[in-house]
Amino acid sequence: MSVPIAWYLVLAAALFCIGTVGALTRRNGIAIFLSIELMLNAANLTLAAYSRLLDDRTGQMVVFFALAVAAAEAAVGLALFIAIYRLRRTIDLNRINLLRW
Amino acid sequence: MNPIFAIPAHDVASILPEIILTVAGSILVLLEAFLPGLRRLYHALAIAAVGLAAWAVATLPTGPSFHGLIEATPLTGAFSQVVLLATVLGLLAAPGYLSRERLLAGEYPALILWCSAGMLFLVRGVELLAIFLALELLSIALYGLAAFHRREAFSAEAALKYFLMGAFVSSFVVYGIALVYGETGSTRLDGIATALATGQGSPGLLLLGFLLLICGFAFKLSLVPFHAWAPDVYQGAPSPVVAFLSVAPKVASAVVLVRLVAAIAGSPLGGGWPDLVAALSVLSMLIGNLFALVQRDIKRMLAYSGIAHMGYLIIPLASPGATTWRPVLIYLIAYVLMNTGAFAIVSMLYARPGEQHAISTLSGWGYRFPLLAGCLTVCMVSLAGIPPTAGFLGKYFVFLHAIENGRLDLALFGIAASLVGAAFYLRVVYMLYMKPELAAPERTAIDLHGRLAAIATAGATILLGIWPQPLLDWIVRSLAGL
Repeated sequence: MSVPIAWYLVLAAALFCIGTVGALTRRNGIAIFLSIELMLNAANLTLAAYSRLLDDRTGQMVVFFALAVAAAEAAVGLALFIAIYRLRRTIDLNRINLLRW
Repeated sequence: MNPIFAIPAHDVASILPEIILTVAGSILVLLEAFLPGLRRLYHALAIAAVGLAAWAVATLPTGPSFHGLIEATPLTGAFSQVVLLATVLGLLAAPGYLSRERLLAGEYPALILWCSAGMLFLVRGVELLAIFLALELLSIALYGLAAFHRREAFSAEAALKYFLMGAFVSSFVVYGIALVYGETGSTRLDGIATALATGQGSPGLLLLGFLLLICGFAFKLSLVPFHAWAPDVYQGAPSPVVAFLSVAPKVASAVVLVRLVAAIAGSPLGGGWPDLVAALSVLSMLIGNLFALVQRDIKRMLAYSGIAHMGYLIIPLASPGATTWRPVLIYLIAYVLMNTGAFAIVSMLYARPGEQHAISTLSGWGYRFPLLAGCLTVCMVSLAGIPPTAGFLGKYFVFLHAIENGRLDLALFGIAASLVGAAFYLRVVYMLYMKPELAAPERTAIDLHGRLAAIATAGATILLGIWPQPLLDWIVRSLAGL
């Protein structure tokens, strides 16, 4: 017994939406970053599912590259969080507001 | 040995420009670790590497490589040279500011060079994975550059905003790639176009996928409604970084946007796309010009002006076809010159990083700094699109293309928007020459490199306005294959 591919796509779409809503509504820098990771992984799940559906390996290769890029992005992003925490003692975006209209 | 893992020599040769840039960047980082005494030479070394890369681009054999992931054509060669021009100007703009702020380090030119390598890949990428990787290479380098003033909260905050929004949008791009790949079975742009032409895949998911992809590049171009990051990042990031960040990535992203719009516009799904592009363009021109009018900070003003300029830039995309490239290329060349020049001069004249760069600070400085103020005036006049400057030339070709392709509405809107725009650009000139001096400058960062960048950009801006024929001939040669 196997799970139909369409279910994976629906699950991925749901995860992507949850991630989007989280990234837009959260105010803590780390929570936003977590939501963005959720969106990326939803995209990866979609790629893997389509790869299986099409019986084509390109999708899986894209997943590997997307994972590597996400890791690089996380390294730079967390370094930025540390830098801003040192300067401001917070990563709450409501309080990081030097730049205004 | 599995033949897939043997990389043929011609593939390696085909990425020579990118290899030169990445190796030079790595060498600079090593020099920073082992020979920090040579710091003053780093920017000259980086510029030499860019020159070498420009030579490599010029001698690059045309054709696809890496199984069709990237492709070199005379067209990509021309755009690559524009990217490298923006890189050189970005490198020239920096040393004065960096030494004043005691930030001179090998990482700065290294990040610029790596970013530039990403942009060269982006210009040549004809496959979605290659495009995504190139986009991330340039973005991650830019996050680092935006945070380069590490003791300054403004810089860190600008970088954090840029990073969060950039990462958010890059997940859109991956999801867009996933949907387009899943529905067409291909990640190559030509394969996708073929699949679209045969009506393969679910139209809804394909439209969603393309929309997500276009969001990603509209973000990089700071088109409304994906423009919110631009004013904050431009204001907070170090000025010489903005001189680079506000132009070079736009050149590379514009190429991808033209390719994406071309891939979908020719297909059965293509019906509404020209109008979508037109809407993005009109909104960007409108919001950019109106908000720029009320800014007191020159960097924020230039950020909104940049949004408006991207609106003008994509007018030709509303009528896709092979003729799109010429006005886009001319406009980008003009934009590189005038915008980099303006930010380079701003970075030299303003004393403190991060805080308000009030336009009124410039009052009366036209007589104190005759050379730089003159160059800034030329850049402002060109940004306003007043002849005889490169900015006028770019706008002329963009509007001409719109009129020839039956988009008179867009051309008229663009002309009206430029008239509004002239008000805030000329206000800077008014401040420079017509107002009494408010305050003597505290600590400027004027140095030889910066002066060179200012003179080169202003001189080229005027030269292209008076005598554009050599440039137009070069563009005709570059676009001959289309």
